[in-house]
Parts: sequence; structure tokens; C-alpha cells
Amino acid sequence: MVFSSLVFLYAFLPLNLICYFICKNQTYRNWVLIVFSLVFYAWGEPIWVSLLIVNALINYLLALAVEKYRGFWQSKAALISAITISLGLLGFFKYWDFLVQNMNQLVGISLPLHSLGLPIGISFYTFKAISYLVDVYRGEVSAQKSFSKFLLYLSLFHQLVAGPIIRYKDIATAIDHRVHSLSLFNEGINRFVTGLAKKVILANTAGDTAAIFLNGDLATLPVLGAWFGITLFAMQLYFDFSAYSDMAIGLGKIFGFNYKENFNYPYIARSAGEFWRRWHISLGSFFRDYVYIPLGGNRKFYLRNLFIVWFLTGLWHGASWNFVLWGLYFGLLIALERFFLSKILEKLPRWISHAYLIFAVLISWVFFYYPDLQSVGAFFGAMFGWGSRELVNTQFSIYFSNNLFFFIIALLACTPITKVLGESIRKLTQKNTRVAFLYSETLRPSLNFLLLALATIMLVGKSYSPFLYFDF
Amino acid sequence: MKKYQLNIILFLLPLFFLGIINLLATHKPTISELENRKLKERPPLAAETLWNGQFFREYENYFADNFIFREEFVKISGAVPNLWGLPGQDKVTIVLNQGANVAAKQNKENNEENDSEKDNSQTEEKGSVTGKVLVLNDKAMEIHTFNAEASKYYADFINQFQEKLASEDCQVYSLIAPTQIEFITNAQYKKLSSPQKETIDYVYKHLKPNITTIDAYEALAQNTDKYLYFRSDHHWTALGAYYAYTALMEAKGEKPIPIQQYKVKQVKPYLGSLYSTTLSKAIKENPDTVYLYQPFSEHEYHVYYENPIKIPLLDMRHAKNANKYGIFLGGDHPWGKINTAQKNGKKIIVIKDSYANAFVPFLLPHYEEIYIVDPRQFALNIFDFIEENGIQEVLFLNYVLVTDNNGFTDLLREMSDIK
Repeated sequence: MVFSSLVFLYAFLPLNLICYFICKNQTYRNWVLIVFSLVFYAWGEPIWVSLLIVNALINYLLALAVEKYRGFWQSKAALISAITISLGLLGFFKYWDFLVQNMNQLVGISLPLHSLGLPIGISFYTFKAISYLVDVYRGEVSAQKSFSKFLLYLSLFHQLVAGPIIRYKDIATAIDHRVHSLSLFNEGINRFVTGLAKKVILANTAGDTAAIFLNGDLATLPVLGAWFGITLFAMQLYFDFSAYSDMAIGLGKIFGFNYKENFNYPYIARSAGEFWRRWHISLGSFFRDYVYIPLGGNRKFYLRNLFIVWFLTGLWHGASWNFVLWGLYFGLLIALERFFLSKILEKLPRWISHAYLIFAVLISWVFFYYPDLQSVGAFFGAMFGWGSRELVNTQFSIYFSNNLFFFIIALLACTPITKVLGESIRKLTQKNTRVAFLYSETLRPSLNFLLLALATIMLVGKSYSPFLYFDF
Repeated sequence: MKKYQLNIILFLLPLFFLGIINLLATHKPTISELENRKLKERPPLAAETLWNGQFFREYENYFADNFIFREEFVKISGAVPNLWGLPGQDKVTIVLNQGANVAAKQNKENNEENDSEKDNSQTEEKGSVTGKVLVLNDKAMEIHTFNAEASKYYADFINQFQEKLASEDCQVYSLIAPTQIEFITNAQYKKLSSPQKETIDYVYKHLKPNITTIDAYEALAQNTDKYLYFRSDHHWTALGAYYAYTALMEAKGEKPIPIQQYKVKQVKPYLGSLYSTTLSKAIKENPDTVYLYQPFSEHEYHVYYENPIKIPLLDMRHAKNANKYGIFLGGDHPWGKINTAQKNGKKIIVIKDSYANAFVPFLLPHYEEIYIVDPRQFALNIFDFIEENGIQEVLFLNYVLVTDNNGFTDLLREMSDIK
């Protein structure tokens, strides 16, 4: 299931809220969340619930072993087995076919593919499990004694299928004792509705228009069409992904969990390094804490460590060479920035470093979008006007003028403008309680209501599928 | 009201309210006339579909299709894109017509780590048309994209079909109908669509010489000042079909019946398939009129499902429906047969898409028997059918967009058992 669906909003969530808040006992509440999480996960892929539970069981038991034998070799053995099993399952489901295809091509053999498909969210919950095991091993958190509570951590539907990669130590106390309050519920609603609107109104619209330029005939794509298309795709990715994190954080607050931020306006960054400290923060910090630093970090083999991390970051996004290339591209930029680029950029006016980052990121999304190098090349051809190519064409003009306001709104939505506005409202209202009341008790609720209504209407609109030929 | 209460109430109220009336509302439509399709039914609960996830996908579609106030919500959501930009001097937009399927798209969205996957594996209805629609003021037109491979695939099919015919005396005709966008005057917008004359010539060039090609293009091109195409629908009008018919008569060396000989009836207002696709306000404010040229020759028309059903050639029961183009031949049927009072022994079979529906009534004065076959539904052996009924002429009548992809040709090939 996804949050931005009618079934979630108008069946799953109301039922979940009733069942949850009817129970007064923390244990029952945890079970409500577990059952709903498993249904949420099973919706669409019932088979893989079993994999999720098995995964949870293995990691639960091995974490207990890690703790029990602390200081002995068995502890390390348990840790290594847990990581091996987790990565083994991830590797089998996500990378086996990719590996086999490459092997077959390279060596000329024909190993069979499993073609089982990718269990949803496996990339996220595998990393959650690994972070838990390592943290227990490092003694940063004690192992969870109750299996149901560990299953709750691993399966909690708020961040099960699309992140953020929440660490156990960050919500360990919340699993045992959660605080619920109207104030948190209120904040949760604000956050959830913001995310929902971002996804349904902004991400979907940007994606629909982007696809027209990115999926069309690249040989005749005009220069501005290419830039417009890739910019819209960049927006779609950001809105889509950060909206999912917004909704997860919002739901967390409603149910008494506090999740860390996962995005921090990445497109206002001024270097690739900064971009990655603002984009999918929970993934970047995972690789930093569990791969980069254990490898030696900045201290020894800096370049090796850097490229291992970025190779893996790329590969994590999908079992395909274009993602690897995409990851290594960022590794290269970050290395260059560290050696000399940052020093130069710092001396230049700010807008140049902004422009550099936007340019670099847009280029990266081309690798991200097209799985084959041929299309990547063709698209760069369009962006840089190789061959006899038009700057604009009719299709571009029509789409551009028909989406001009949307484009401006979307651009603004990539910046912290609403946050800044909110902050100034807060400052203003510190002095004036009547304005404060008007905002938080009237304006914001009405805005949320309107956004929820609009998102619902647009979700219903998505089901609109007229047929030219009668389909009875 | 206490602090935070309004926000919480305004959030929970719609969730519970819509959720509950969704459950309780019983009188929901089963058919969407606007979309020309059946709404999804609640999927049956079965172990297999539950286990492989199909049940959930179908349930999601069912839930969306039967959402309370759906029709109203759809209309509002259709108007949202108008707010996104400047319409410019000409009110022009391009609308994607892709038969969106909620759950099919969900797959993609679920997979955030893999969200570069563009392959929107939509459940595309075979033989239905998916593509782009240009809305220019109050006119909506499908955009044609030339596809050399698919065009040749279509031409090759007709060649192979001709070879498989038992009788060598059976004459095969091919008529490809151009569409409205080819005849708009604004050169800039016309360029959005591939030149249809070239596509038609390309197909005709690949047909064997013993297949007669019908130049409907020229006949239509000379009459572009007339009401040849609906503005709200992807079909031609009966008048457009009439000019194509004159081209067939010319190719056969016969004299067409002058259009003035027909009495005309009008049905209005008509908002057709492309209005449904685009929900354009300008079109809604200026709907089409369906002109019906009343056949004057004596005739009987049967359509064949399990049993023959006798219906009028211009079936006025459809005049009440949204899809008024359905008046012509009563819509698309597996096959139909018209017997006329012309005892000249001439028999023709029209293998067609719905463009032929407005066309066929003009054939009445020329044939004793007219067979109409829709490859999307026809289930008999077509070659035996032609031989057993002593049919001497085969007319393939399709509009040019069937050459955009292999979909329709695949249906033709399937029907004729031609690989």
C-alpha cells in the first residue's frame, strides 16, 4: 500500500486510528500497529510478509546473541552471520538477476534467473536491521528482549516501504513508552497533509509532464525541452521522496514516534557534498556510520573508501549499471570538491556555486533516469544542442506555457520559502497571541482541509480512464 | 474550541465521513458513460488472487472506481490543469490519453528505491488507442505518429490476407481514413502530428498491385470547408464518411449517390470520446451535432452474437446515450449483415474499426449483401466465412492511427490466423 492512495486514506488509516486509540494499554497498541503494518505490507505482496517476519526473527535472535556473548568471539560471529544473512537475502532478491545477466554476458554461460521480483521495501528494512545489529554490537543500544517489539521496529508501516531508514536506538524508548498528545497529533496532521499534497499535487503533475519530454523521441527533442524535462524530473524525485518522508514523520508524530528529518531542501545546496547532507539523510548517514568510517574514513585510504561508498550508494538505488555510474559520478564530484573545487567555489559569488550544484545534479538525474548509456548520450545531445537541433518546438511551447504557474510554484516549493514564512509568522505571533490563534487555530486547519480535499479529488481523478472504444 | 481541536476535527472528519459513506452508499453507478467503460466490480475473494496480490490491485481499482462523489471529483480534477499555466492566444493543450490504471501505477510508486523505472506497465486494453490528443480551442484531435514498422506490419497483413483468400476473383480494397488534425490550417500545430498523407502513401506503396487502394484523402481534402469531423470525438461525421465513399465508388468506376438524395436528421448536443478524454470546457460549451443521412433503400440489418438480433441501421436508442456515434450501425458488434433489395448479387465484407460505422450506410444502394466484421470481437474463420457466403469484395477500412503501433494489426492477424 502507499500513503497516497484512497484505500489508505479512507479505509486503512481511519480503521488504524480507531483500533489504536481505543486501546489504552501500550502492549495492545503495539500489537495494533504490528497487525496493521503487516496488512499494509501484505497489501499487494502477501508472499513477502513471510520474508519480513523471518528476517525479523533472525535478526532478533542474533542480536540477543551479540549481546549475550559481548567480549567473546561468538558476539562477532553472530554479528557477521546476521549481516551476511541480511545482505544475502537482499543480494539474492535484488541483485542476483543482475549479476547473472552480467556473468552470462561476460563469460557466455547461461545461468538461470530467478525472476521472483523485488520484495517491497527490502532495501530499507535490511539496512534498518543491519544498523540495529551493529549498534547492539557497539553497545550503543541494548538488544530488544521482546520479539514483538523488535518486529514493530522493523515492520512499522510509517517507514516500511520507502524510508526513512530509522535506527532502532532513535525509537527504542518510544517503542516502550510513547507520549501521545493533541499537540503532537496536531503537528503530525500538519506534516502528513503537507506530504500528501506534495506527492499528489506536485510530484504527480511534475512527473506526468516530465515523462512527455523524457520518453519522447530524443533525436528531435529540442534543447529547452530537454532542460525542462530533466528539471521536472528532478522536482518529481524530490517531491515524491521527501513527501513520503514527510508523511512518515507526520504519521510518526500522530502515533507518538519521533523520526529524524530525511530531507533538508537539497536543491539549495552549493556543493555535491552538501547536497548529500541534505538529500536522503538517513541513507547517507547509514553509509557514513556503517561503511565509510569503519573502512577508515578520511584517515586512511580516503579515495578507496569514498569510491566504495559511492559505488554502493549507486547500487543500492537499483540493480543496474546506470545507478552505479550515477553513484560514482557523485563520488567523483565529492573527491574533486575535496581536493580543489570547494576552495575555488568558495571564492566565487554564491550564485555560481548554486548554479554549479544544480547543473551537476541535473546531469546526474540523466544517469538516474535512463538505464542504457545510449539514451543517456542521446539526452545529453539534446541538452547541449548537438547536431542540428531546435532550441524550442511547438510541443515545448505548449507545455511550457500551460505549466508556467505550476513550474513557478514547484520551484518555490523546492526552497525553504514556506519554512521561512512559517518562522516569521511564529516570530510575529510571539508578540501577538490573537494572530497566533488565528494562524494555528483557523488558517492552518483550513489550509490542511483544502489540501486534503484537493489531494483526494486528484487521487479520484487518477482513476479516470476514458476509453475510445467501449469497454464492456 | 480547545487548542488543536479544529485541525484534528477537520482532518479526521473527512477521513471518517467519506470512509463510512463509501461503505454505506449502495446506489452507485456500474457504468461510467463519460468514460465509455464499465466501472470495476468488487473482486471475488479467492486464495490464489489473494496470494499473488491480484486481489489487492483489483480492490484498489474497485475502491477508486466506486468512490463516493467520483463523477464530481473527476470533473473538478479535470479542471485543475487549467490553473497551471497560461493558455496563450489559441487555447491549446496536449492531453495524454492513456487509460490510466490506479493500481498498475502503484507498483512503480511503491518501489521508491527503484523509482527510475519508467516502464509504466499499464494494463493497456488491446486495440484501444492510447496516445496524445491536441485540444485547439473547441476542437480535440488525436495526434498521429508515423511508425514505419507498424505501417508495414499493417500493409503486410493485408497482402498476406489477400494471398490466403480461396477465390482469386475476390477483390481486396484498402481504405485508410485520415483524421481531423491533418486538415487544420495552423501549420505550427499541424506539425505536432506526422503528415498523414505520407503515412497513407507509405502503406499503399507496400500493398501488392492487385489490391486496390482508395484515395479517401483527396476526396476529404477537397471538402475541408465542410463539417467532416466531430470536434469532440475521434471519428469523422457521416458527411466525412460520405466523401470517402465517393472515393471508393470512383475506384470501382461507379457513380456515387448524390448526398442531396438523402434526408437528414439531427441529433444534438453530442460530446464524444475526445471530450471524455480532455474534459475541455471550450468543447463542452460548443458541442457537436450528429447528422444522420437516412438510408432510402429497403434493407434489413442483423448483428450476430450467439443469435442474430435485428436492429435498425441507424439505431436511435443510442441517441439518448453519451456515445451518440453508436447510432451508426448500433455501435461495434462481432459481425453484422445487411440484406438489401438490390438483387444484383454483389456482396462485400467490410473489415473495419469504428470509422466504417458512419461509412457503411452509404453502400446500401450498391450491394445485395453487406457484411461488417469487427476484428476485436469476430471469432469465426474469416476465410471460410468469405467463401461460404460467396463474398466477392473485401474492404479494409481503418483510420490512420491504427498504423501508430501494432495493436490493431495484431487483432487483425489474430482473427485471420496470420502470424
